[in-house]
Amino acid sequence: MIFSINNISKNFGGLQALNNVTFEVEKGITALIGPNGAGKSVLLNIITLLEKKTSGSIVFEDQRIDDLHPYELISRGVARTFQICRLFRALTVLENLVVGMHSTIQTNIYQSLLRTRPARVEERENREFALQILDSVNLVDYADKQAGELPGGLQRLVELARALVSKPKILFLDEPAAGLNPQETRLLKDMLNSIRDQEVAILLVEHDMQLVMGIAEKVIVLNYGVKIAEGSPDAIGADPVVIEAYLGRRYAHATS
Amino acid sequence: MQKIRLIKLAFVLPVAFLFLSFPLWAGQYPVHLAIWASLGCFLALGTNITFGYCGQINFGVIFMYALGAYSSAILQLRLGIHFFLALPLACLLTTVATAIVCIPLLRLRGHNLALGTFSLALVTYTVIGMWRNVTGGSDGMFVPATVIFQHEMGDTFYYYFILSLLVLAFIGCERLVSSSAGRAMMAIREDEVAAVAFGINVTRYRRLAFMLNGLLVGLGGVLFGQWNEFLAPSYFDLWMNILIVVMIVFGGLGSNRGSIVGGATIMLLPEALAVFEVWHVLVYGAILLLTLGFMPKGLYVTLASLTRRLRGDILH
Amino acid sequence: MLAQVLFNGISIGCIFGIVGFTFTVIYNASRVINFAQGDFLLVGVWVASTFLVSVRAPTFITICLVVVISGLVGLAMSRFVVGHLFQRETPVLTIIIATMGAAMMMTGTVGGVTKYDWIPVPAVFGQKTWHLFNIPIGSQETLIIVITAILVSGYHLILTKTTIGRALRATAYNKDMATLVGIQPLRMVDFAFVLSAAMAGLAGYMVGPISAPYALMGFPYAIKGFIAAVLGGLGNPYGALIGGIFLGIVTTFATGYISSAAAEILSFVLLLAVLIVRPRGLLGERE
Repeated sequence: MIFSINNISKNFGGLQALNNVTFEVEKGITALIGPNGAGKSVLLNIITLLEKKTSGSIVFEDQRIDDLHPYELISRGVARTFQICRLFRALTVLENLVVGMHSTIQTNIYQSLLRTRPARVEERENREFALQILDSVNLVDYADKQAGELPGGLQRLVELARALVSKPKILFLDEPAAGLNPQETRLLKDMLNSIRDQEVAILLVEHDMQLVMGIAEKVIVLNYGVKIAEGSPDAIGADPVVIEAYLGRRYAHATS
Repeated sequence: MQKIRLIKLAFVLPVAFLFLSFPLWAGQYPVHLAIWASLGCFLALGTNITFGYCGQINFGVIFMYALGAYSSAILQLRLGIHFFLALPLACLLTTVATAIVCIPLLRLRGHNLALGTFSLALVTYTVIGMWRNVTGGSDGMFVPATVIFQHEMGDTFYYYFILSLLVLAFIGCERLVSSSAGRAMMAIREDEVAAVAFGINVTRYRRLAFMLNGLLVGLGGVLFGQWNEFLAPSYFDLWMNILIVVMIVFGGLGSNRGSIVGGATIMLLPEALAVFEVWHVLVYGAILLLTLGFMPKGLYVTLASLTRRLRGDILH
Repeated sequence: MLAQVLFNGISIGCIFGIVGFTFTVIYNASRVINFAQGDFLLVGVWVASTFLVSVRAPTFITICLVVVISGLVGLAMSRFVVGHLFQRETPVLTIIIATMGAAMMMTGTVGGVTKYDWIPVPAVFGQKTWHLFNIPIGSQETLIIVITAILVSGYHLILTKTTIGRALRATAYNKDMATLVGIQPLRMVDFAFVLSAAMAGLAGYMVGPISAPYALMGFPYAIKGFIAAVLGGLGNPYGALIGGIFLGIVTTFATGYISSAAAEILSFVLLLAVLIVRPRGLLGERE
């Protein structure tokens, strides 16, 4: 179950945002880091087909996925969260999750309009599963609250839960720890570990170094659209190229 | 809980009985008004699907309204088809036509979509007025009366017929909201990017929203034409086009009940305000402005959430 | 006679252009499609009629009153309708429908008072017809063109030379950035409305003597103004002005040589053509 990013380049007119980026994401937690403007979010959007690449290919489980429609990606088992919280604000938390399962729905609109038995059963099962997921992240009490009214940290957790309901094989998380307090970050860390234990691969785009170094098994470093390093957290932390990219030519450690 | 259910039933049953027996005891004019209000409800319910649920701008509602009305009339008048067959055919035609115009229109978004749908309204109004051979042009065309067993149907028939269809339409819309398709539409309204990421084919659901809009508004047109027994471009002008949008905003965007309230109110308002004679326009404007000023979420939606909160306070 | 028709066309086109111009100014400042734009003309014409006919006020005073009162109406609308709703974070669509309510109130007030009768407005220079190169040109029509030029230049000066004008430009260009440097968007909306209403009010007084003003004249002018704005390119006020003049010429020729009904249809056809062929309008769009 390998997700390969091969020679991805992205050109914005004259600006080269990404230049021949290549790496693989496998089981476990992989982190994608780099200074601001390195192109991490662009890369993530290209991987999840929300932006068009200029060249390169994306392969998941031995099949090319970059020619799919963006909305087909999730049924291949690829789910994601967003850097700015993209919850469906006017819908309840539970409804947000049920929408997350949209790709798994088998009954069609006529069945749901007529409230046939299969439609009702599927609806009930989906809601139950969504509640289960909410329970696993301790958010069941918020199930019927409007998503837009939740505090920021909880909204992020709901976003994560929404990504999980589709039972993805691989999860792309765009700065999930942004705006979380230390307690919430610890909760996030535990959740990520348990997701990893369920055999879901994770690619984490993050700024929070403590989180990254604490749970990632592999780290990929991007700078000015180019991959400059790849390896274990310790190796990356000691890599002078990486340190220079973050801190300029002064030597200091990126890890505590 | 059981007690509240019983109280609700005690309230609902007599009201339902009143509605069902209405033509039998109310005068001709109230029945006339009830039909007129119901027609507005169809227009509002349908338009609410694109605007309120899917978050799309549709400034060309009059296209669907006129197409339904005129196609039904033409099928009956020129092809001799009976109303009960012309109705579903006209609705089907309107829905399909809407799907066809969606092909260019759905490439647009935001205010370009507004302009695009608005030009659809302009085309409709212009074509109706100019295509004398088919639509009778500005002179209008007569719609044959509904004949059942050699009797011509009157207001009583239309009251029951239109009201039953309205109930079905309302139930359909409510079910749509709690269905996966409805949720997909709302997801598109809330955040299109996230919707795509979770498997929603945005173009498909936008088109579905427009088609359902076309179906309901077209049906409204069919019923209007049939009941009014006369069609003319003046019923399908830009003013009516905007009025339909006013209905859903007034009642409450994104709420089926709000659409019922808005549709009925806006349709009946000109009648109710006739007492003010010269000042009726001022009062209309004042009502619209004050309602939106104090209840921007819409008349029904604001009142509903208010009563919900009050009830919440009472129950605790 | 061709030249005369052309001249009249330009003249009425200036009115359409001002409606489109002011409409665009409001749209740029607030993203609101102002349904009441045509009714600002009505306010102007009615104020002028009241003071000129009943009170026999001198023309100069009347002009000032028209500008001030129209401006106040615009301010009231901005404060109590648009601004109020903006603060409650209502969707733009609701605000647009609210402007319709405001338009109806303006129409309804004048209608109630005048009983939808014609509103008499004397021409500024009387019914004089002047002659330019042997072409008979109406005094009022000439005045319209001159006033339009003055108004638009005045607007340009305000926008470039005054602080508040620069603030308005900044807001139209990038609202978020403007807020960051301390410009309050609601004050900008107020400013846009006052300016637009005052200009439109004066335009209404100017066109009054040569059209047949009555309470319901607002909506048709609003539609023409909207068409003018789209023709010129939504977002560019000067484009709307040019679009309006073009529209005026076309419709005047159509009315003269075919019929007024044809002129109506022609204006719709023109709008459609622009939307299909060049949605950006003649002078393109800012976005």
